[in-house]
Amino acid sequence: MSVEPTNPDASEISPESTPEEVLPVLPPPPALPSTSIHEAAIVSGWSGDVEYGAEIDEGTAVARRASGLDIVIRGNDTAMNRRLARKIEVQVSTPTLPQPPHMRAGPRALPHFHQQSRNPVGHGFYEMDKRKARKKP
Amino acid sequence: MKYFTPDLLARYGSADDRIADAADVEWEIATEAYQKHFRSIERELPKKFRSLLRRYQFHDATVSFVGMNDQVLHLTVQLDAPPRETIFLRYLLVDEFKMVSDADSSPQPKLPLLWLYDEIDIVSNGAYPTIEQRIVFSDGLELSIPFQDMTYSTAHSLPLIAKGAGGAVRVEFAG
Repeated sequence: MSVEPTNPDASEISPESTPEEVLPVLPPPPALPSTSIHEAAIVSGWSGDVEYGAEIDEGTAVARRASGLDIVIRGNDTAMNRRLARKIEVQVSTPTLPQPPHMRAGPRALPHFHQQSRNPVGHGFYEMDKRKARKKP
Repeated sequence: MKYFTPDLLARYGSADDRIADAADVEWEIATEAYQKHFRSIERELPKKFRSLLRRYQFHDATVSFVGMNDQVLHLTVQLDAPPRETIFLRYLLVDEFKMVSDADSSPQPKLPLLWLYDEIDIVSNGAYPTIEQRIVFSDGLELSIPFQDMTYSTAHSLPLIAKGAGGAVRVEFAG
């Protein structure tokens, strides 16, 4: 008397099957959006453009903001960038709400946080999917 | 404010990413609409006002003085962008200026007063059109200035050091 396998695929599994043959092949997961922290500087004049410099870690970013210098969070995920910019600014002291770029500002002006007291001065900028800092020449 | 409303700014600052992301989109749409509006009126603005707008960005400027003398409204602001010049603005008023406070805001006297955003309109046409500049400050106050002409001058701040202070102050007369 023979018993039919309940899973038709099970009939194809033999003790010699390799893991690649047994496990379903899944598509690769989508790449996680990357976010990086950089030194930054606001360009003089009406445009409000932001230039980015060397990549730095979070601790260095907090120290840089505490000394009144600018930073920028780079990447394509606006929400992730905003969260990281807020997280860094909170470690300095009490930040403002995020401020959008001014309507007359240029396309490379970025939303930002800064300290409510303006002490220390400076900004925690973050990129959006359509607004990007430019590389410091 | 017509384009940039306190409600939109509040949503932009929401801790809820869905609300903040939607406000991002709305802000960009408002920006495009305002830029189109501004281009349509720019040529009718007084020459000195146009030069002011082309040269300086007032966002986050620290407001240190607001006062009146006859029909002239004086504002003194220190710009946020380097080299952080101080601008002395003088508006020749044609009507009373208006101040409106955002109901949700509460003045925090220990914090500096910052110039956040402004919008410009022409409220009456003619040989000498009446311009209105609406400015929203960091304490939620909105100032509407109706004027026909304005002048400004600028200066670099002088570090007040008792001994060894060096360097000259350059004052530029733009009026």
